[in-house]
Amino acid sequence: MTLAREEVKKIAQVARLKLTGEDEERLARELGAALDFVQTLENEKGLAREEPTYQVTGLKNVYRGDEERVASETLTPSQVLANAPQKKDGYFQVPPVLN
Amino acid sequence: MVLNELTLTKAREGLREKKFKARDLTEACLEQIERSEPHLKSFITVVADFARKRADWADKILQNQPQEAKKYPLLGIPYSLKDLFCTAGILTTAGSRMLENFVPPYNATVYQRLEAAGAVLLGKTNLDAFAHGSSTEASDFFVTRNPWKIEHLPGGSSGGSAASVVAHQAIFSLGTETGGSIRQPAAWCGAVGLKPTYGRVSRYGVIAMASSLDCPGPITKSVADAAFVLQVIAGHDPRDATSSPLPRPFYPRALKNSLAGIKIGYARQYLEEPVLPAVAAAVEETFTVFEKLGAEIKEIELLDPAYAIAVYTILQRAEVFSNLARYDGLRYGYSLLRRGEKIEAADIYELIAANRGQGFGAEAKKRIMLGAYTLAESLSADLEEPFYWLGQKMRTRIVADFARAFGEVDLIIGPTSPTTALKLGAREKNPLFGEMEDRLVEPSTIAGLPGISLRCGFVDQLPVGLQIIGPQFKEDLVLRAAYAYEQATDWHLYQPPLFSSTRRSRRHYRV
Repeated sequence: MTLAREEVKKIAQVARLKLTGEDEERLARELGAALDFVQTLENEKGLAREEPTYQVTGLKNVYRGDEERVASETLTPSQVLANAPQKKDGYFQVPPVLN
Repeated sequence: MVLNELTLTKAREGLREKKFKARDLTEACLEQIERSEPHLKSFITVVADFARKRADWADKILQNQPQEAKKYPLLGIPYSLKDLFCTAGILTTAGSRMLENFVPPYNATVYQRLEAAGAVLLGKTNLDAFAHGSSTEASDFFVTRNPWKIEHLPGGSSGGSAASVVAHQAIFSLGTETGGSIRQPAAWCGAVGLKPTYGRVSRYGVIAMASSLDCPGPITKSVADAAFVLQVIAGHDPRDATSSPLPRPFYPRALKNSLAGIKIGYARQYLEEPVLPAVAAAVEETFTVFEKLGAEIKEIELLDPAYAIAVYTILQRAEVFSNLARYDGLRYGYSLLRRGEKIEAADIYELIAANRGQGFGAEAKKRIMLGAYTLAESLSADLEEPFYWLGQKMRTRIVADFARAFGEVDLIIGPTSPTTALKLGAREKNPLFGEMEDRLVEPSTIAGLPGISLRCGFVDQLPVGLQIIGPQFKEDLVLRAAYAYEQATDWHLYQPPLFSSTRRSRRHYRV
């Protein structure tokens, strides 16, 4: 199958990706091919009633002890900001979140 | 003695017996890197000065404090690290444009353990961007070549790691696997690649791809080397809640020359189309070797690998969608603002979408998009439930299928890859290239099982990979079978003529 261009645009919005027209065209085709493939599972008998497996080794609800963390384990503000494209007064600087 | 061609085991012996210095060993690797990199291109970053300093530090301990030296199991051993492990102060790109300038402020646990064991980091190796791929052709920087034939691919995603070991640029390497990324490049390059049980090795500080599947593991020149490296990196890590608290055995002790009483199964579908007949034949020839070692070979039934590919495609893409959501270019990573481009972003979300649209390569975008589709109910409204749920449910059946098989046999063997190393450009021709290439390793990864790939022959001068799969946390048994097979055959002695001192006159591949 080939996805409709509109559908690709909708997915891109959810995925926060600004696509070029070329991207959209390619993805409509390639995503369609991948979906053809995974759709085989839809016809699998009784699958809906199976329990899902999220964690293969059976670990569940892993907590750490309620203890104070060592200060040296935390990063300093300058380490945290070292890779920032724009910073100001010890903060990341970004465009408005609410406009 | 050509130092960079030593196995880890031999290099350790030589250092401890003071036959050579750690600095000599490191220089030999650095020289090989300098000689071979123009052709091979396995490294994204080489840290020569850092390596020399580390080697000199190791030499001080080896020369003056023999008792202290025993505390460092990998003291003075040079290695390469897939560029997916965070290394504080050293560029870590994930092979991606998105992280082309990223210098992490902290270390991956695995890297920390190797450093604490005294190993010497040489550099960071190439991979498909964000480990999305099976060839290194999806690296945002360049393609790594296969050491046996340089117009062929090394496999991937840990292709740079596998190539660096086989071409004797490094004594060993660390890769990561989500669905084949250690075993498949190991098979194509003819290295030993061990994918441990999910959770046996910490994922902390490994740039995340699919968190329910990702697993670091060694790529080495011999099975004994793999056991040794696993010993150093395995074990519980409080920083990775999914790492296993189970105690780890002493893996090198598991290596034995006999497989008496061990039952080994194989499934017919793993030897049939699309598996190349020559590859299947090489794997079938191992049966008699295993029988001579005392094992019993038995045909078993396994689910068609096609199910695993469908499950893998769904789960991996869904987890990629979630894990790659963090790359917004605001705090680190590819940023239009950093590049000084004029942006008309009305708000923060437009900027994020613009950063991601340019920073991610074609493969990452495709996977993120497919992941969104498989997760979101709003996008797949005509389905009864999103694909993601179907995938997790089918995963239950795959886990159960292996559990049943391991009721009949102790280990399962088959080809690692349906083919030997393909030529450059192979990926371009097939949008489902990775899925087809990794079809024989994806079932076991979905069930979290440990597996190893090692050489079992050559076809047209390219190595063939044999994989051995075991039940969860049975790395010791997997290593034992691999070791017994390796020692009973001489495939591991063949060297790539372009990258080793042993020329045609001595050990050479069988044509």
